[in-house]
Amino acid sequence: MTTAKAGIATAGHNISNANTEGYSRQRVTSESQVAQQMAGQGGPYVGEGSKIGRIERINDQYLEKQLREGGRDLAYHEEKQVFLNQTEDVFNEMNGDGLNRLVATFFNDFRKLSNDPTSEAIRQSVRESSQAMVNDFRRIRSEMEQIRSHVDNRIDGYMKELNTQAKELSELNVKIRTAEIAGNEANDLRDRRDQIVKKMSTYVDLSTHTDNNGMVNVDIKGVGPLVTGPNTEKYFVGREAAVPEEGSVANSLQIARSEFSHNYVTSQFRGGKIGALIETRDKEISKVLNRLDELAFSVSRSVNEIHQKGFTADGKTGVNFFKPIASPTDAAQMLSLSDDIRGSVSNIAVALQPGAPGDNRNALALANLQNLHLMNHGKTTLDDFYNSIVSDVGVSSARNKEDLGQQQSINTQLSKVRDQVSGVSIDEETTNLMQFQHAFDASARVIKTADEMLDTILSLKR
Amino acid sequence: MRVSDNTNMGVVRDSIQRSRSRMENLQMETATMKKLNKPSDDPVGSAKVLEVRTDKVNNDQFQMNAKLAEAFLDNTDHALEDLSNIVMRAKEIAIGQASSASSTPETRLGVAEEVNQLFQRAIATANRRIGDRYIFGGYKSSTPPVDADGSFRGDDGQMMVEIGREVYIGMNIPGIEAFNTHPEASADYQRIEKTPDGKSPEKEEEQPARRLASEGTPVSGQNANLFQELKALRVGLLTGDLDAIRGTLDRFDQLLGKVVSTRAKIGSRIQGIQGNVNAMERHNITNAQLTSGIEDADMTQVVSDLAKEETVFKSSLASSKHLIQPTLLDFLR
Repeated sequence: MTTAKAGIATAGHNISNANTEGYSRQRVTSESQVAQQMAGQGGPYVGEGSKIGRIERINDQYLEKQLREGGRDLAYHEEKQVFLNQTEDVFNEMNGDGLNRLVATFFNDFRKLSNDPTSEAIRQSVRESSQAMVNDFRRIRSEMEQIRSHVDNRIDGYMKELNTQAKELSELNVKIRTAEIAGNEANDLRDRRDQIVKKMSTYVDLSTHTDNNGMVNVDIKGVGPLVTGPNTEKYFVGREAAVPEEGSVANSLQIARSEFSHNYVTSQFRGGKIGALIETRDKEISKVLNRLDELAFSVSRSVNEIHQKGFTADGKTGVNFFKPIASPTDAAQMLSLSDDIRGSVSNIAVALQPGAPGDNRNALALANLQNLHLMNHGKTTLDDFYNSIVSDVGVSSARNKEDLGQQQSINTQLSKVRDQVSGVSIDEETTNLMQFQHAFDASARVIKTADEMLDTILSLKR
Repeated sequence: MRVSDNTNMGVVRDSIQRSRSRMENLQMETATMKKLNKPSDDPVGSAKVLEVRTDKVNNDQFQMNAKLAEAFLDNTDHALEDLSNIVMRAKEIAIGQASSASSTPETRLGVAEEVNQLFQRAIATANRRIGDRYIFGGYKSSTPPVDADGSFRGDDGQMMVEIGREVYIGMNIPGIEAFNTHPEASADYQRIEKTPDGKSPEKEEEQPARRLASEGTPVSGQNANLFQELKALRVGLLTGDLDAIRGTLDRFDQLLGKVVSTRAKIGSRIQGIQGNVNAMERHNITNAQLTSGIEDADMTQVVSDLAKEETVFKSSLASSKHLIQPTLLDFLR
């Protein structure tokens, strides 16, 4: 009867946890009691009924591991996609009013000016379109910076969660150990522990192993231990100076083993959400920004170079169009019109000789920059270079989307397989319930029969 | 195979979600009529679209440039036509007064006044403007190229305009070239150095026109200047120097030849511009087709896909109804 009751309780437990995430169904294994010899020496052995063996968890550790890895990769791609989407939005080229158009307008205004070099109105429009181009360079730059600071905030948040969960895991290690030393099956605690390890591995690539005491140890791959039995290692984040060889810039978030350490392990974090964020920040975003800076630098340098050769309407020469920028670092941010151009549009140098208001040769030379191969060591035009930035952002995003889709399918499949093994089927539990109920009924009937037999014997005396 | 309730629910959720996300994409396509809404929709295509878009903006500018250049050249042509009429009239006068048979001091005095008028008209024509730009001034376009004395004050600057990608055409004829048979020998000649890199952005097709112009003028001989010849004719008429009058005849012929050949040059430039404009229009059409192929959604396709997706969605909802509902518990009553 006790065995049957335990069975019923377990079925009830399963049913009520049918929708609990990460729950593994449990099953009572009943064993028959060892038979005892009846009526002294030489008598027959008669079975003593059943006893509860143990309540076991139906769970495939190998599947759990796959699922964990799948979850990690899915989180990685999901996290990356969030920021790649934002990056794509910054280059809102597809609706036709991004930097591409502004650069084209910039050069075309010089062509307009070459048609009518003396026109004040066209000179104004050259200045306006240059300003618009400069503004858009800055807009892209600052929006990308914003995305980067969002990334930093997230890394901070995720590291905190990871530390908290590591703590929880170490506590669970202890609880499970205590429970199991006392001889109990800590099934539900184990489920919880699996669940936490699964969650932790969505943050970063982890390796786990169970030690002799049944405690789960977790290492961050390539970095070092996170949880060792009952102990946890805490990781710290802090803003630091640039680590150029890893592509990060000044003041971005770095991860260290201890609060005052300058030995950063940031770039060793791979996979999972944190890995995705670090990669997005130090590879994707940095790459886009560097190329944008390079482009802004080239525009300002080559335009200035030609502009200086020309003569302004007042016969001055050597005038800069943009404020000179020394190096490509942060060029997109620093790009601005020179004070001369800001001061007066007659400082736009259209002519190649003084006192020739109809001379348009310098304007032509400036417009012709659009066709020159100024980027990539003389292989690409400014336009193509910019287009390739946009298209690269698109490629990264498209590839990641594809990977994300695939990973989703894989994970759905894995979850299905896991549910096949560990998931709760209400139908099955109902049948189990009935089966145990019948067993309970039958056992009760056995007792009732024994009771009746006792009655019969006792009534003999009357 | 063991099927748990979660598996069931998962399948239902998954199929509905998938169908919904596909429908959302299609919805986006119908709303924007474009299948390219983000660079990641087609990275290579989007780079192409950007390239073509720049092309389009440039082509529009080139077409505008071409129109302006054409107007400028047309005006120059009209001015040259007027000048050739003036030279023709001057020549007629010179022929009429060259022989003593028809020429008397009275007639000469009478026509001398007409020659003076011709001289004034020639200066006015040479100083013709479009807006506030003198068409014959070269780069010195804001001051009159010819002074009251008939001396040339401009230079020989060629204003090149871009009428196609790296196709340049001169939009002006510097007066010095039109008014002199040998501009280099002219006293007023002001040479403009070519672009610093030594590469003159002149258009290839122009070479034949230039050759034609040089063929039209005698290879040897002294420079003849339109204004100086008119002055010489007038002086000849006033002083009764028949030899001098006869002397101008030949040079008027040369000048006429020069003006005609210059007009031929303008004609060939205009032709070049028109050819380029036509090519550009064709180019624009091809580009439009290209971008449309890359970024426009095929509406028939999208709408029929949407209808198909709707059916899929509805049927997955309908099948979910059967999947979710019954458990064994429903039959144990």
